[in-house]
Amino acid sequence: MDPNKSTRHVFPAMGNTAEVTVVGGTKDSHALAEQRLHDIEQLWSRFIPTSDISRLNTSGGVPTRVHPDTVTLIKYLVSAHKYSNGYFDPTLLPALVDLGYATSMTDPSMSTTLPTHHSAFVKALALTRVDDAECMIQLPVGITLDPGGLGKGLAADLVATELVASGVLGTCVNIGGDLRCLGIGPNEEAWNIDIESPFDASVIIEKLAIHNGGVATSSTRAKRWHTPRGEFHHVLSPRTHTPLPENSDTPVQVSVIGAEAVWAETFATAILVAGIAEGLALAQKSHLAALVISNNGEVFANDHWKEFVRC
Amino acid sequence: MTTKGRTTPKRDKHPARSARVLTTGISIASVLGLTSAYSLAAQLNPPVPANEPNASAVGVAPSVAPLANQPVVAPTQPAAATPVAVIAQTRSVPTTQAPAVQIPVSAVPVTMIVLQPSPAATRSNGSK
Repeated sequence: MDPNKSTRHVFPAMGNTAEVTVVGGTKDSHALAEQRLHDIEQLWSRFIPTSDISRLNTSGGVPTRVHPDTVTLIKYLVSAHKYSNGYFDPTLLPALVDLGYATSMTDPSMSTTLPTHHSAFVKALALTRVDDAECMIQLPVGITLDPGGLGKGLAADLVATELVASGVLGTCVNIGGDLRCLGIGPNEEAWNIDIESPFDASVIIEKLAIHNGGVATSSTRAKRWHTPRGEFHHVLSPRTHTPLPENSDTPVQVSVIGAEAVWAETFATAILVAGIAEGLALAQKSHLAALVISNNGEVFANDHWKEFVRC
Repeated sequence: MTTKGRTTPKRDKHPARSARVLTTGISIASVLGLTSAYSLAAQLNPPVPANEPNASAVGVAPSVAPLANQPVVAPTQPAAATPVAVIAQTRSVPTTQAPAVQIPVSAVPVTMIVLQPSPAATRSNGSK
C-alpha cells in the first residue's frame, strides 16, 4: 500500500459528524468504518428503543443478552466512574431527560426510553453484573445508563483498531471531536490535531502532533437547549444532578490526550466536573495530558500536555 | 502545572507531580479477544425480552436469579499516549517532519471519498 495515499470520508454518525482518514486504505476501508459506526449506534443509542442500551435501561434488573461490544461498553462505564474518582457518572440519564434533553438533537423524532421507575443512584452501579461467556448484563433495578460520556471515544478506538487489523497503514477516526489515531499518519508523519476555541470555532488555540493515541474535547458550550425553566447544557454535576455552573473561574472546555479515545473522553468530562485545579491533578495522576479553558478565557495545562504540542 | 496563554492572578493550585510517560498501545491480545467475541456473538440466541419493571427500590430484581458476582473491569486503564519526540528518538534514522498544512474540512456527500494532496489537520472540539 502507498503510505503517501491518504483518503478522508465524512459522514453522519452517532448524532455527530464522523471523519475517518485512512492511510494506505481503499474504498472498502471507508465502507467498513461507516458500517461499523452505524452498527455501534444501533447498539448504544439511548434514542433507539431496540438498542442494547435501551433494552438494558428498561430491563428491570433482569439479565439481558447484548452484543459483545455492549459488554465492553458497560465495563468501561462502570470502570470510568472508579478511575475518575466519581467525577464521571453514567447514571444521570433520568436527570438529563428531566431537564429537557429527551430527544435527539439531530433527529427530534428519536427519543429516550426510560423505565417507569428509575433513579440516578450511582452507588448502585457497583451492583452491575456481567457474564462474559453468555454476553449477559444485569443492571441493578432502577439504574439506567447513559453511554454518551465515553461512547464516541470507545467507538473510535474500536473502529481504528479494526481498520488497522484489516490492513490499512494508519487511521484517524474522529467522531464529533473525540478521535483515535493509530498507525502512521499521512506522508509517514504524525497525525496533526487542532484544538478549536470554545468561543470561536474558527480560532485554533493549540496544534498537536500524535502518533498513536486518543484526543477528546468536552465543552459546556456544546449541546445546549432551551426550556421554560431556562437554558441548560448537557454536562451535569453528579452531586446536584443539574448543569455545571458557568462561572468565570470554572472550566468551559477541556481537551485530553491519552493512549485511547475512551479514556480521553472520560476524563475530558471528569475534569469539567472536577474543576481546574482538581481536574488537572486528576489528569496528571492518571498519566493523561490535559488542557483546560476557563469561562473567562484563561488557559491551563498539565505537564504532559506540552509533549504533544507541535510548533 | 503550567499556565499558558493569558497572565493569571496568583492562586493556590494543587501541585502537579511529574509522571513517567508510559508507552502503551492496544495489545494484540485485547484486539484478538474482541474479534473472537464478535464472531461468537453471531451465533448467540436472540435477545431475551425484558420483563415488566419492578418496584423503585434499587438492587437486584428479587424474583430473578442474579448473574455470578464477578468484578466488572474494563479491558484497559487510563494511560498516556506516546509523545512524538519519544518516537523520533527511538528511530534508527531521524526523519524530518513536514510542515503541517491546515486545510479546512468541508462536508462531502457520503458516497464520495476525498483525496487530500497534503496532510490536513483533524479538529477536536466540544461539538458533541
